[in-house]
Amino acid sequence: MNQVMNFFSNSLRERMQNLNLEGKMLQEIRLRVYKPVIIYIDNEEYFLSIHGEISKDSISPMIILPKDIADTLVLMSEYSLYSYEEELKNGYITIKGGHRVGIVGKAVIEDNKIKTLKNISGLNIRISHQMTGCADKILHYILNSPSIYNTLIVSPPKCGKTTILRDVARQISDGYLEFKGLNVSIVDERSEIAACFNGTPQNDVGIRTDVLDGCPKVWGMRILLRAMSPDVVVVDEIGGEEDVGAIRDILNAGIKIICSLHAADLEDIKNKKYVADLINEKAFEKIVFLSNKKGIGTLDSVWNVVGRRWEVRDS
Amino acid sequence: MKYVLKIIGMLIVIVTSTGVGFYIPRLHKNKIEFLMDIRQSFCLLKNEINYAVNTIVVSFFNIQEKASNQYVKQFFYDMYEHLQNKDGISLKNIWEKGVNDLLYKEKINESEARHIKTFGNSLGYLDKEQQLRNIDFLVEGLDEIILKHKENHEKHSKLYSRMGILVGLMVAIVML
Repeated sequence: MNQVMNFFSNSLRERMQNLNLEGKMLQEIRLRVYKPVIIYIDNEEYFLSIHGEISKDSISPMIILPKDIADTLVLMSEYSLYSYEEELKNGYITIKGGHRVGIVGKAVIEDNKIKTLKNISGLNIRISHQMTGCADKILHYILNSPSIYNTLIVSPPKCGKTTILRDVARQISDGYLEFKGLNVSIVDERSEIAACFNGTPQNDVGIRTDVLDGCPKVWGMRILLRAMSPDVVVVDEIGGEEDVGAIRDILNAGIKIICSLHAADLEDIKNKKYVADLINEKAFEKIVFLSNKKGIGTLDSVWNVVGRRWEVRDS
Repeated sequence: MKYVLKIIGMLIVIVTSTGVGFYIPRLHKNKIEFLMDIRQSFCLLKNEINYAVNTIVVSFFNIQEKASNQYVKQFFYDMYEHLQNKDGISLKNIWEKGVNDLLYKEKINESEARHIKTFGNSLGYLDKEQQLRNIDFLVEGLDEIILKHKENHEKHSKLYSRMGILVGLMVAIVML
């Protein structure tokens, strides 16, 4: 909480600085112009009052003014909105501490592309919580000492794919029990894995990890292949034809890959033509399915290549 | 003894007056060098924004690292410190305070301070292209100021040094 406090406008800071959230998990703070401040703590919704207290009912709520949004955005961008031009086009920026700020307003379109956002009307500050050790349960399926299996981590949205991918990268990089650490390269197109701020990963992604931040996956994978000589490449949310082409280049160079994919199950993957081709080619040796059946990051099943078929190893 | 003291007194007057005559052009030269250093720092800021796409905070830190003039170094370092504190003070106010410090230390005059202060009004808010144009505008203004100072320096430096010697001699003659 203290880490993000410095990024708020003075009026917000005055009201939030006395909140006692010890032992609670602050998840999101939503600021909308002329609307109350809504804070999500431990999956519960709270309103911030003008007296600096939080309650589940909207009693004398603090109403956000355009100046609050503007001042907060200026502080979050370190007085340098110009340096976030690319991120603004995508509707988010990553701030110190690895926290993600979603931004909405009026999109300025030029040549059929979003040039920037203006009249910013809402901010969604998502507090970063690194779940160290959350990949322990799947790690022994991935490790094949002294190397690893090419692995695809699959789940529907909001099931913890990226969080687990980050922890997998960290543990492969640092080493895990008898497994010696490998050189890991991450292509972090949307700054979600390492959450780089001014070039420095805000999340622990391991001591042998190189991060190419904000670079499109396809370019990034090929740059890392040529430049960093990695043992393992980690990439989030693959899917397109070009992604698959770059993955083939990685695999042809004898480098291992771990990536994630939005899908519910193996049937769903078959609908994703390009990834399905990779799976049919047995490019991946393991497919890990996650869900949120027993909480975010529940390990559903792990599929192995057995001969020419895919079989469930554990479920 | 009386004559010896008189001669010593005359020599002191001549040396002091000559010294003042050479000191004033030196002050002008220092001023020009300072303005050239501050101009250079804005060129660095342009590169920080244009090529490195660094934030203002990082840019100020990098500039103070590279600056050779202690006042320029201090100017950017103080602002970097303020911005790091994130105490809610606007960049415009922090910039104004930095420029006022330079004014107080007599490194710049009122009109130069006004020119540099105006730049701070839009610093950080505009998109990259406008930010760069803003810096170009400031640098062009500083070039004009520097040119005027150089012309004045060339015009007056010999005058001041000769005046120093002559005034010294004149006072010495009067003392005789």
